[in-house]
Amino acid sequence: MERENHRLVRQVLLVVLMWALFMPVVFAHGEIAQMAGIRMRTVHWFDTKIEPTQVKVNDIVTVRGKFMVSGHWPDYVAKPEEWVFLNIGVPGPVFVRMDATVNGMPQYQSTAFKRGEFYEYEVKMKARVPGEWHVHPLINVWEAGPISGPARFVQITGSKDDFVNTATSPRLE
Amino acid sequence: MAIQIEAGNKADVDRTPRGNAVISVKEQMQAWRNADLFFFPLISVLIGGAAVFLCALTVGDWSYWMDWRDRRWWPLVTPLLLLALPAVATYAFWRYFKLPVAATGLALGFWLSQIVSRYVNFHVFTAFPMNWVMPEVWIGAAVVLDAVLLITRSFALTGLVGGMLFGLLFSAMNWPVVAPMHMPVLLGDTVMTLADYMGFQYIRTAMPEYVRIIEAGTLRTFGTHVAPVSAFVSGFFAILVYYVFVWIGSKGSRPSWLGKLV
Repeated sequence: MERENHRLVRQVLLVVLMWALFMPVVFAHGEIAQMAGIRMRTVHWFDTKIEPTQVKVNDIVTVRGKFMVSGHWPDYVAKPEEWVFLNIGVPGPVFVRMDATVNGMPQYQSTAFKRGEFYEYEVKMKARVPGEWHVHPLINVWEAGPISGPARFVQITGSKDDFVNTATSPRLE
Repeated sequence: MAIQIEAGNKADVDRTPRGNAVISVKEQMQAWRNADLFFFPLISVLIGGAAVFLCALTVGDWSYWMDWRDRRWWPLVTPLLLLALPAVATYAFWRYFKLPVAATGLALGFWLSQIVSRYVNFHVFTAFPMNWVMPEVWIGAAVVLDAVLLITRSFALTGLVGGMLFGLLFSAMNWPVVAPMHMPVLLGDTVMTLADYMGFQYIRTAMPEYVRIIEAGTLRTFGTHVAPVSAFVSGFFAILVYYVFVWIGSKGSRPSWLGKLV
């Protein structure tokens, strides 16, 4: 009985070891993981530019591009005319968002996007946490969830302690 | 089993085998202390973990983010959900030990557990600023609840007066934490509260977009006359919550349950 137990333990350890050695490392996930119906019938992203891809803490990274909200939006997905928010897909606040515009207009809060329309967006972010991060443009749709755009890896170097973020209070004059 | 040792020769007592691990009063006391040292932290962690989990499931984002602490839902929903466990524990502690300390103890343990949870999960692991994810404080409201029980010695009156005060005071007692987040700041030419400004800046990818629009159409403002109204409504509902969970405590803390478990 004891010998069988030892054998079982060895087998479990072998499986764990093989899992650890041969498991592919996952760097990112997002737009590829989305189901085809979401990828192809909701938001069509194009001309996406995420640059620069090598920055230091406090440097600005710009995410810009265009998207068309599909006119063939699936019936089973909540509609973008309700509430949507232009967001950024990153692993936590490794950047802080300094500014966001859609069609040249400030995009600080939720809005509505119309099906069949083209939009041009730009989001400026300041690098905050060193590391190599996968950055997506993203549209959160109320009651539907995030719809990711194409991504790039952005590498941030330097020290997080050097990060500076200031706010301006309005002066009453 | 405790062994009563008669006064006598200590050396004899120490040598005498009695078939028990504990052979003196001193050792018995030490065994009890060891049990206390083992079980109290364990129970505290379990209750703290249960409370944090309960809060995560029920209050959730209203508790996590400073910009969610709006003037309507946060003062209304949070105290109602936080009152459940203290009401259950209050019954057991008052019924069996006559100790009006359960709510205060739970509030303190809950707050410490929340601090650890926020620091590790939100600050260290996901790099959010601590002042952005500070848990709400309700130790003061719990002290009031226990004090009312101590004075009135009645669950009915404690629910009526203490429950109302619990809901009423929650928002006011958290005001020192929330007030700095009202500071107006500029994003472009848009005037925002500091809470909303940080909500825009510190990216929450996986959050649903309604993170930004609890009150549709505008960025949220805090305070004003809506907050006291929410607090009063919360107080009225807190009375009901207190009664219901004291009743649950009365059923759950019956010794017959222990007999079935052991």
